[in-house]
Amino acid sequence: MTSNEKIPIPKMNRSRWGHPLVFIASIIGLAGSSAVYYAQIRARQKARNTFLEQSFYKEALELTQGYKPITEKLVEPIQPLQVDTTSKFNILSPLGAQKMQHDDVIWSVLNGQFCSYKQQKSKTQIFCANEYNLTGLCDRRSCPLANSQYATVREEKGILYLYMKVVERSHYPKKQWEKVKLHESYIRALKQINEHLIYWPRFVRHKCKQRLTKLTQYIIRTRRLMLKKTAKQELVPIKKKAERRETRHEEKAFVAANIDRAIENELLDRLKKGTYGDTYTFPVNAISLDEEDDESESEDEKEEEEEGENEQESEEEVEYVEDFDESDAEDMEDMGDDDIDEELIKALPLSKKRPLEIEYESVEIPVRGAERAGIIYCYATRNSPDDEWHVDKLEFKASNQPERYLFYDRELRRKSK
Amino acid sequence: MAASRPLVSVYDEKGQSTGKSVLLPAVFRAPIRTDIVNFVHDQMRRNKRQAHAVSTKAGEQTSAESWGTGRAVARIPRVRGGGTHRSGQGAFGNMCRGGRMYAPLKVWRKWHRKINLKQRRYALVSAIAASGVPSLVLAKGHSIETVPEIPLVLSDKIQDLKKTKEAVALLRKVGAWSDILKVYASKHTRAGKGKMRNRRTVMKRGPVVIYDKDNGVKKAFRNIPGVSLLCVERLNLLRLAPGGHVGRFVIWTESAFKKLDSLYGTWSKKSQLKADFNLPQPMMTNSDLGRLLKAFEIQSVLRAPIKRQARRKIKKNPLKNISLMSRLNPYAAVQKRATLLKSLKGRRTGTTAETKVAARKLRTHESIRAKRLSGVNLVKKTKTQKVGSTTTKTTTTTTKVSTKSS
Repeated sequence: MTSNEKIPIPKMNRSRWGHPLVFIASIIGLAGSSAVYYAQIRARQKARNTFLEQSFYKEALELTQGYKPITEKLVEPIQPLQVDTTSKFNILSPLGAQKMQHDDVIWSVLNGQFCSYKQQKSKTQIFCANEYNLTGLCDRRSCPLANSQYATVREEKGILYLYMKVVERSHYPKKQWEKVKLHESYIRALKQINEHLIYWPRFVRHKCKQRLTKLTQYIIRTRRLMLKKTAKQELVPIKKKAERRETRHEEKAFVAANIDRAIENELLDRLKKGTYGDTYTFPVNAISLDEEDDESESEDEKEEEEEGENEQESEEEVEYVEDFDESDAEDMEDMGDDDIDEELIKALPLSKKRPLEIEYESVEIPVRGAERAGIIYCYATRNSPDDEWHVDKLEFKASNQPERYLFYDRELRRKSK
Repeated sequence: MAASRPLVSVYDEKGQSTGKSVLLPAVFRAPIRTDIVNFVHDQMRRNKRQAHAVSTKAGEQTSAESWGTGRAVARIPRVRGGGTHRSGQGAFGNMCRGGRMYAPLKVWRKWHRKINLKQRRYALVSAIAASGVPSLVLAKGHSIETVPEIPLVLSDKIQDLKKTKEAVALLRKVGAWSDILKVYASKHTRAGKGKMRNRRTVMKRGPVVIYDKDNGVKKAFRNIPGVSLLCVERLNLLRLAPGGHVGRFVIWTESAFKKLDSLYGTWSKKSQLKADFNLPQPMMTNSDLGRLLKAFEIQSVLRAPIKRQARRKIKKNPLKNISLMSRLNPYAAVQKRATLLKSLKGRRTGTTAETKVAARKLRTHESIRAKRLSGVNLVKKTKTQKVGSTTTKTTTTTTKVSTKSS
């Protein structure tokens, strides 16, 4: 017996072993005393049931041999006088000196009164939410609180651990659970469990092994799933309500944007500024930016009028997207202005016939309430400088959904009307 | 007796164990009687109530009278007069709109309860005992997984804390902060009318700090949500067993812990500070029933268990039950066997046509023989011979020779 091992010295009545020292001496192994001890046993055996005697003796042996010391795990040594654990070591004790922790008392409180881990969601089964529970059921044998000697197998990040709890540490919650890493191989892990829980109750041992089995299967399954392609994709649920809401918002924002008017204003602005230079030959003063004043509008430059929509009065801070398509380099005539303002000229996928004088413009027009709504891209063509601008395509890109585009063909709408 | 009580180590403000240890007070050994705690808690809770009632005049301030029968209306009293909506409406009943309620509340209701001193003390003692059992504290819902020891005793320096900041730091070091985080997480709006009666938020209960002398502890800890403060000499069951359930997380100061023995006594010594009080005696000194029943002392006195009890035997009829018959008369089996074999002699049990014919033949032979033996006139039928239109039946009779049948 190492010095580390703490031998619990049970209290005994005199009648049983004679002098208590005899028993102690027998444990230590003094020859003479053991002879006395054995003589006493034989005397008793005649009168009493031998089976019971042996069981007690066996248990006494267990206390000394099968007892696994855990002091190396502790920071502080266990208090020397802490003899009173459950009556595992102490059968009958003098009056008044009750033990502090009786499993039965605890269980009667938990079962009868209140336990915060108890989950009774169905009428047939009561579950235990305690993370150390072996079976998951609220049961006298499975309750980690009501059993001072308990063990579980738990999984943490793919590694299985055996947790053990003994009476001696019951009053030190921080150090209560001894954690043993189980072997990666299943069979070896089983052996480990057998080793660590050698003299423990059969129920605990069996359930630990069952748990080990289930958890290893779970780990294998997890690993297999992780290798699949679906594991790398992160699945994001489509929230119906949110989707519905967002589409409606987009539509409203689009309508509120007044794209036509914005385009009109923008182009007139540019014209006025002189970005087109001499391309368009009409008097500038004739062009007014006042939408309501139709007379001032030049014939040459007829923009698409809105049909009774509200005017957009917000200042357009047009941002130019630098997306320059190389294949259309020949088609563009006015490239000189690029240095001054960064114009966006994009090739239209729709119309492939491009006479030399056609200009393509794609303008980025922020929508009213731009932070919320987004930006509208406008693709407009005209056959000649004298012709009207024809809006081929409008693309609405909501700011909260960067991937989505809402396409809006004005012509179609016109036609339907 | 002292040898059976363990030592509890004292921790300092940094959460480290000082070398000192205190002997566990005997209170922690008291029987945990949750039924008494529940009852006393229930009674005690009523003592803080304030009287409320409904106005005595409510619903009675009408001069309504019943119209009686014959008017095709219900017979409740109706308001007199006319010219207003109110006239003719029902009054006075609890079922009527604007009527007095059923059993109007009165102020002279018994609001407070008297509880026996002994019961009160018993409950308190049980609650303290339960606070020393980690399983019960866990079951109550406190997160004490990071606490070094239960019961948690801290040095007296805590009583001198002045700043809440220090108090928080202390709780962190000692491992009690996770419980308070739980309190924070549990803050929510109350359900019900309490919302508008200045009781808007509700939250869990955290640890109790029990001190001996207040040199600032109270003020340091009182603003931390969930924490309760109690002086050892004036312990409150409503704080030690909130909700009537035992097992609140308690943080003791050293001097408070030491005072418990003199407050509640040990069994061998009465309480010094309470008049005529000693700890309650438990019903069983050793309540580990499982182990008791297996104990040698008890097992040796018991008789052997009756595993197989002899029950009343049903009488069976030997004439019908062959095994019983054989027990009485062994030769009966032989006899029976002989008869059986005889009856089966030569019998074929086949179902083909030949076997059937053969079986039939055998039967007829047997029956003929039996009849012969028993002395019956047999008339043998032969085939009818058709001679022209007439049919002649030739029959042969055989007279049996009278012999005694065996």
